[in-house]
Amino acid sequence: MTVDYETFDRSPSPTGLALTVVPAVVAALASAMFLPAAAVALLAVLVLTVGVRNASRRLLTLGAVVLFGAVLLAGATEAPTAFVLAGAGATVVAWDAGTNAVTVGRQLGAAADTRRLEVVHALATTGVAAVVGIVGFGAFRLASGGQPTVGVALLLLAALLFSYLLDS
Amino acid sequence: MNSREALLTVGVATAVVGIAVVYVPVATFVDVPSSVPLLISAVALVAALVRGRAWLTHESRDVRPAERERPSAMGVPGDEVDVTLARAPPVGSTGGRGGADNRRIQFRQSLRDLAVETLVTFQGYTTEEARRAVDRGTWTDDPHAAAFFTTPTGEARSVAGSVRGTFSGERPFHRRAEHAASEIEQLGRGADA
Amino acid sequence: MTTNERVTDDEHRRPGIADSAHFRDPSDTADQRDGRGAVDADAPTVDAGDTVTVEEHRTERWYGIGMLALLGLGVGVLTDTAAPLLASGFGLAFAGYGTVTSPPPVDLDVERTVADPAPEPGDHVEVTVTVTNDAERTVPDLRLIDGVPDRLGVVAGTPRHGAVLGPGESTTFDYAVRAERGAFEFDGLTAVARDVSGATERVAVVGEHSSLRCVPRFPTDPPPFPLRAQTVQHTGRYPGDAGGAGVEFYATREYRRGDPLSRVDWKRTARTGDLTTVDFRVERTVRVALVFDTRRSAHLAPSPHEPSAVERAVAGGTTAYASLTRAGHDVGVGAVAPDECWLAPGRGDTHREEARHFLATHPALSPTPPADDTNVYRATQRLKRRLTAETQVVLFSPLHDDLLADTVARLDAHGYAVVVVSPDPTATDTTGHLVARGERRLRIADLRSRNIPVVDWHPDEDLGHALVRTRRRWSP
Repeated sequence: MTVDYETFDRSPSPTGLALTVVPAVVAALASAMFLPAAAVALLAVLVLTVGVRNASRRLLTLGAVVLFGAVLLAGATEAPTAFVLAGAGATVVAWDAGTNAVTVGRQLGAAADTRRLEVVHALATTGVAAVVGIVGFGAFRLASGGQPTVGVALLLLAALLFSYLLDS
Repeated sequence: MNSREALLTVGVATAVVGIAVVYVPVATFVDVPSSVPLLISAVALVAALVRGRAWLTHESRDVRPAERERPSAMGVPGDEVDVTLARAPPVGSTGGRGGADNRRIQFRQSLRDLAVETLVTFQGYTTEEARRAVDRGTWTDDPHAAAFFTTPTGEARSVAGSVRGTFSGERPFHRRAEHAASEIEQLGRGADA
Repeated sequence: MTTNERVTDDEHRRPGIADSAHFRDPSDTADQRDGRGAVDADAPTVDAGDTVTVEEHRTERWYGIGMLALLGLGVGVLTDTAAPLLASGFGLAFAGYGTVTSPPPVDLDVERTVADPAPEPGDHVEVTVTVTNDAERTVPDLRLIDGVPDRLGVVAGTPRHGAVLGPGESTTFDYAVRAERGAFEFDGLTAVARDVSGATERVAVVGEHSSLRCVPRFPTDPPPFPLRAQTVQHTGRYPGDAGGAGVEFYATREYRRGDPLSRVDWKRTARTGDLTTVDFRVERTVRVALVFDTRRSAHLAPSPHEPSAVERAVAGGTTAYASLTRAGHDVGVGAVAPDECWLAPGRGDTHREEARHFLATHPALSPTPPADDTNVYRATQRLKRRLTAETQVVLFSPLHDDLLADTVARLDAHGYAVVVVSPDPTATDTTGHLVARGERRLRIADLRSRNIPVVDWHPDEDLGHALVRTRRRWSP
């Protein structure tokens, strides 16, 4: 006699899928100015979608890095700075929503009602990204043009330091 | 202030100074060759690659609640035998160290006892007849089952044998064990009532 | 599993019978059973209304994001453009985002309602849970997992829920469990709280005591249950009973029109041509003790999510009680378990109600495996003290090891009449499982060779059918 018990479906919820794909598409659009970048970006969006559907944090990270790279490439050519910043921010939001969806799936499953939970988290991340984007845009407006190498070298050093310190 | 905090402070200070330098040109007092930007870029990209790899292989530490949807799982009789079997490497592979070598020998002996007992109880053999049948492989039609008791364990392997073993080694022992256990189980089946 | 269950003498190992102890790796100490996971296994018992933090930690979910800053810097400097440089700010900012936060305090109030606290087995019982945030701060990321009792399963909805709760705010969710025989306590609700960045996590258990008691009714028409022929002389209809070692029913009478066909003694009909019916009414009252093997190691099933041997045994024992008391015998209940378990034999309405609840909810007969080991010797001694010389013993055991088979043999040698009903928990899908099945068969054959009747009860089989099968092999 076999009883039909519910199974614990650990996959991400449909909300999580939407919260990942929409920002990813926005980021891809931001890189649309430069065609090769747009093609790479579209591929990255695909990888992100597959990553969230298959609950693969690895695919999500890969997709996010490629998408970010595509946005950077577009920024290195003709794209307006505002678009680049929006695209970069959207990439981080997409990655964050996707990895959060994977965790929510593992802890609560696809059957549980997690809409408000995931949306609030994504909104918070979007808020931080918006602040960074606005500050960055402001810095761009104030810049006197050209970048002295020394300054950039120092920034690099700082970035390296942060990258290792904050992760340990 | 420990080293971590100190380094963080240095990092923040460096960033601030770097940003300041970007806006307030002080370039004139430092003579910078044109290859430096290339160097900085290369360092940055290589570092990005290295960190990227670490990022890809990183697993976040989330609590993983267990399943509660179904009643807790029950053990099946014989689970511990499967565990022992899974942990039994080929004889000689550990160089004779530890109990690992003996697991296969012990398992074979126990299964042999079971086969003999089953033949005696359900097929009317005497103990001597049963032992002989098992040692000679005449107790069953299944060649793999018979081979389980007739193939000697632990004899010195030639290099070729070891190489062959690497590609197919684990499988014959476990396959033969399963066939032997299945044949023994079927011997007792007729007695079911 | 059974390493700690001792037997008194060393003669318990009969020579030649291979026991899975020989297969067990002496260095194997880990219990391979699928438990309920690290968090729940260590979950403390929390008083109702209290919230206890189990642990908190950093999740490191923002690990590696700083790499985007390096990427931006590299591309920006290489191409001498500003936008990528600015974009690297995201990498730095989010790397920092994950380090400055701390997990929110968890102070929750949980209210759980069990729709029907006294259901019948198989009923779907709805459970509704309302969680309120008693803290003064918002919990921005709250993940809830309700404490479904270990041996119950969910048949509708999910015991998991996600929420964002402001101070004083509540959320409700519900699901349904399938009732099984027994007394069950719900565990506390597990709450996983994170800060809004997801960088830290706090795991807490909120105490909320709810229970579910399922006491099945006795079957209305139980199949006849076999007993051993008594060795005491009596002027009954069957003088041949004296010294008989088989399984007999006490009486048959002429077939009367209207008798259920399932009770017709067909074997006799084939032999003599007469139609006779097995009758319940007997000449003498027998004292019977239904003894259940409920040691931790006896909780086995052919696959991890099928009914266990103990559950089947108690269900069978309930049927046996109904059948035997209806036939006029005095029936009691005992167990081979870590602790005392005894209901003195009796019959009648009062005893019947007492037995019904005893069989359903006594801790020793619980569907949850006991935490402690059983000293089989001591348990048998306890039992023997309760048994009078003429008490028949019906032992329900999966016969998964030699210990109880030895106990049975010894009881038999001491003059107690024993019948063994063994729910078969074996499977054939792996080598180990095949070995266990082979060993169990040998144990059954060994008991039968000592003239102890063993009912080998297959998993999907009706107990009545198994009894008829066994009777066929034992009747003259």
